[in-house]
Amino acid sequence: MKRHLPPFIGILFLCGMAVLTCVPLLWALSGSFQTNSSLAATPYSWFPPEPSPQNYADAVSVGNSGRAILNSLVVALIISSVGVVVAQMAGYVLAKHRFLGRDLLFWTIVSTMLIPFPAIMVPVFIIARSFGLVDSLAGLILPGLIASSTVFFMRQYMQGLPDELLESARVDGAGEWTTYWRIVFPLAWPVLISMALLTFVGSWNNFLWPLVVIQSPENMTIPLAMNSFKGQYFNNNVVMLAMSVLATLPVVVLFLLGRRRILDSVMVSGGLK
Amino acid sequence: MLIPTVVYFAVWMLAPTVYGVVLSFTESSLAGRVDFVGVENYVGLAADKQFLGSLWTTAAYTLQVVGPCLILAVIMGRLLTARTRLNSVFMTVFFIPFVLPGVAIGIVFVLLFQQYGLVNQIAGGDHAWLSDARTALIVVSAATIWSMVGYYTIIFAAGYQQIPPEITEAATIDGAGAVRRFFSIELPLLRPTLIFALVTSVAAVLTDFGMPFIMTQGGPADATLTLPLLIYNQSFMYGAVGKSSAMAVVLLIAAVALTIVIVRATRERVRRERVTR
Repeated sequence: MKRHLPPFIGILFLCGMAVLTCVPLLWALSGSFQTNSSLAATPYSWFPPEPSPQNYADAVSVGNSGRAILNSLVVALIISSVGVVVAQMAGYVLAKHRFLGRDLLFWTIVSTMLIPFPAIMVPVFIIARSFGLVDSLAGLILPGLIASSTVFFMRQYMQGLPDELLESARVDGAGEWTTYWRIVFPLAWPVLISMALLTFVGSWNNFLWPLVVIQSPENMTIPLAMNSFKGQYFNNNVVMLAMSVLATLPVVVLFLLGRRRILDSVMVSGGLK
Repeated sequence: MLIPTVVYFAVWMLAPTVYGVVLSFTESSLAGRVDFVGVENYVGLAADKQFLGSLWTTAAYTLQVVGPCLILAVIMGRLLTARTRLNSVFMTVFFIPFVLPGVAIGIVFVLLFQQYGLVNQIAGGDHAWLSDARTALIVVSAATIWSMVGYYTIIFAAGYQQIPPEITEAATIDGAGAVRRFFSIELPLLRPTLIFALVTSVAAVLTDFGMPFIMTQGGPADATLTLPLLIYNQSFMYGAVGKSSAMAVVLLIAAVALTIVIVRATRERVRRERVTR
C-alpha cells in the first residue's frame, strides 16, 4: 500500500496542474465565440448559446489582425531562417577553426546573453534610427537577427562533429563554403530545425522591441495590434479574446508539429550535457 | 562566415551597451540633444521616490514569481520521471503556455481577474483584482508563473533523468525514504540544473516588460511599475534619455551581479561540501 499511494497522489497533482494550465486557454477559446454580455454572465456557460464567428471577423476588420499576422509571419520567417543559418556558420567557425582571439570572441558573444534588452533599448533605438530603420519591417528584423544563445548552442553542437570528416573534405579540395554547405549543413540539419522553431516562436511573441520601433498600423505585428486594439476599444473583450486565439494558434500548431524536437532541445539545457 | 555575426554583435549589442553607459552621464533627449552632466543622473536617482519604489516592486515581482515557479517545477519535474504513459501528454500540456505570446496571456488574465470575470464568478466575489494596489502585483505574478512553470518543469525533468538510477537505488536499499532521497540525493545532484533554472528565471523576471505593461501599465498607484517599465516610460513617454539611461545601467548591473552572485554562491557550497566529506 505504502508503495502505491505516492504515485497516485503524484498523478492527481499533475492532473490538477494540467487543469490549471488548460482553463485559461479553454476559457479564451470559449469566450471568443460569446458576446460581451454573455461573457460576464453568472453562471458562465462554457458553451456559447449562439456561437458565431463574428468576433473573428471583427478582429480582422477592426483589429487589423490580418495584416498584423502577415507581418509577424514575414519577420519570424526571416529571423528563424536567415538568423539561424548565420548563427550556425559562426558556430561552425568558432568550433572548428583556430585563430588568434577565437575564445575571447566566443566568450564576448556569449556574455552578451547577460545584457537585458530593456537596459539597451534606447541606444538600440537611436542606432536603428540613424540607419533609417524606424517604423519598418527591416527595423523589426535587423536588430534581433542573431541570438547569442543560438551561436552558443551551435558552437557546442559543432564541436561534436568529427574533425576527420572536415579534413578529408579539405584534402579533396573543398573550400570553406563547400565544406559548410555540403557537409556541415546537412549534418547539423536537426539542430538547425529545432533552433529555427524556437527562434520563430520567440520572434512571433516579441513585444518590447516592436513596441519601441513601430508606429504605423500597417507595420504592426500581432502582439502590437492586440495592444493597440486594447488601447482603443478596451471594453470589447470578446474581440480581444478572438485576437488572442488568432495570435496563439500559429505557435501552438507549430509547437505540436515540432513537439519532439522542441522538447528535446529544451531538455538538453536542463540535462546540461 | 564569421563576419556577419561579429558585425551584428558589435553594432547591436556592444555599441548600444557602451553608448548607453555614456548617455547615462548626459542630459539628453530622443531628439538628439546631448549635454554632459557627470554623475548628476545617478545622484538624482538616489532621491527619486518613483525609481526607489520601482526597485522594490521589481525585487518583489522577481521573488514572488521565481520562488513558487521553481518549487512547483521541481515537484512537477520529479513527478514526471515516474514512468507513466501520460508523461508525454503532461509535458506537452505544461509546455504550451511557454510558446504563447505574452500579450495574449496578459489579456486573458486581465479578463479572468476583472470584476465580472471568471475568477470572481467562481469565487462568488466582486473584487477588482487589478485596480487594487494590494493585489495587482500578485495577479501579474500569477500570470507570469502560469506562463513559465511548464518550461522549468521540462528542464527539471531532464535534470532528474541525468541522475544515475544506481545511486537512488543504493539509497533505497540503505533504507532512505522517498522524502529523504529527494532532499539528500536528488536535489544536490540536481544542482547544475538548479543553477541554470535560477539564473535564467531571475534574469527573465527581473527584466520582464510585457506582463506588467499589458496587464496594468504599471498601475494602480505604481504598484506594478517595475524597473523596465519605468525605463520605457522615462525614455519613450517623457524623453528623459539621460535619466532613463542611468536607470538602464542600474538594471544592467543588477542583472549581471545577480547572475555572478548566484553562480558564485552555489559554487562555494559545492566546494565546502567536498571539504567536509
